Amino acid sequence: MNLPKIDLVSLPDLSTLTGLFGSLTGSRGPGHDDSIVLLATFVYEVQPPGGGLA
Amino acid sequence: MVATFERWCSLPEVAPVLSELERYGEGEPLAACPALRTLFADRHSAPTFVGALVRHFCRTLADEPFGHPPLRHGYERGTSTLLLARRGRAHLVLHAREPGRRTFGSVTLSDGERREAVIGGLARARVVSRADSAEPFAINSRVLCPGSRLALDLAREALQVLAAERRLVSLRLDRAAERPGPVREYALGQGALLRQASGDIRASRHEAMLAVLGRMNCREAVPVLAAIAAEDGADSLRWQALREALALDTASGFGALCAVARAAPDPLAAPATALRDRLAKAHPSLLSLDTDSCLGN
Repeated sequence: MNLPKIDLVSLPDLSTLTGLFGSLTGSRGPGHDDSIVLLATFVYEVQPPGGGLA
Repeated sequence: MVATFERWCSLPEVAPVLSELERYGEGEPLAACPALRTLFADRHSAPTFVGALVRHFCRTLADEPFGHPPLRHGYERGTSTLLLARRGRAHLVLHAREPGRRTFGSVTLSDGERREAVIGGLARARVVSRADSAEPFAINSRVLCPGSRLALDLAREALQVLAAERRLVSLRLDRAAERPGPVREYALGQGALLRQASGDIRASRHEAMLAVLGRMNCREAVPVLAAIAAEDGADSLRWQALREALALDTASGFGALCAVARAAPDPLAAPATALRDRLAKAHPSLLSLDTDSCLGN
């Protein structure tokens, strides 16, 4: 069966977008929500020392 | 400083609180945690609790001026916080606000609850609450001073400090809902939703992961993405799983999309139906997929 390849950017988001956890912190003062740990872990997992994703 | 903090943790007025915080963080009602509840009920327990910490740290700092409290802390726009303890869903935070005035055009509501005990300072504040009347929010003015106590349902109430005359110091006990919905910021005037962000760190972590799987062109992840889309979970995460599944594997992704579109009480059913119909119109070959009655209506 010859199915089309669907481009991700052509697919709509929901009408109300939801930011990642912690992205509203700036509007309500300092918090302790692990957002920087989440980001650091994400970067580490994508590109760990010694080589990441090809 | 670490040893000092550990000594404070083992004090008779502190150890029971931290022990009960563990249970409270697992979902136990505050009423079942007497030492913790007392901190936010009487006028003396919270100052004693925090005063012991400050005395311990000050003594150690006198000997080790470059010592650093082994506690997470933050500072932004005149507000500083010190995370005293975190157990499960519960946070115990020492919170200070510098003297000054602030104006608010919006209110941020999150899925959780808060107890607050004011220890020092003086401020004019207000509690903004979701109202059931024509006005979107009800506003109750408060004067905060030592002894003031607050209990807030953060899903519908928020504290806004308008003018701190003297540095306002308080002890806060926060607990997030077990499955927290999004944090939402509303305009105060009309009540319009301005922004929202996930209130669930696991959902955001999974959303970041599935974005990576998509960029890796990881087709073997499609069954997992379809399962995430079908599960009861955060709408944003489920929708991104559908998008990534469709982009990775048209047939499987379209099947997952049809399954969500069929689930009528599902909040994603309407957008899934709209996307399904749009894709079927743009790509008629999708109609040949064995998707049972999903296109039959």
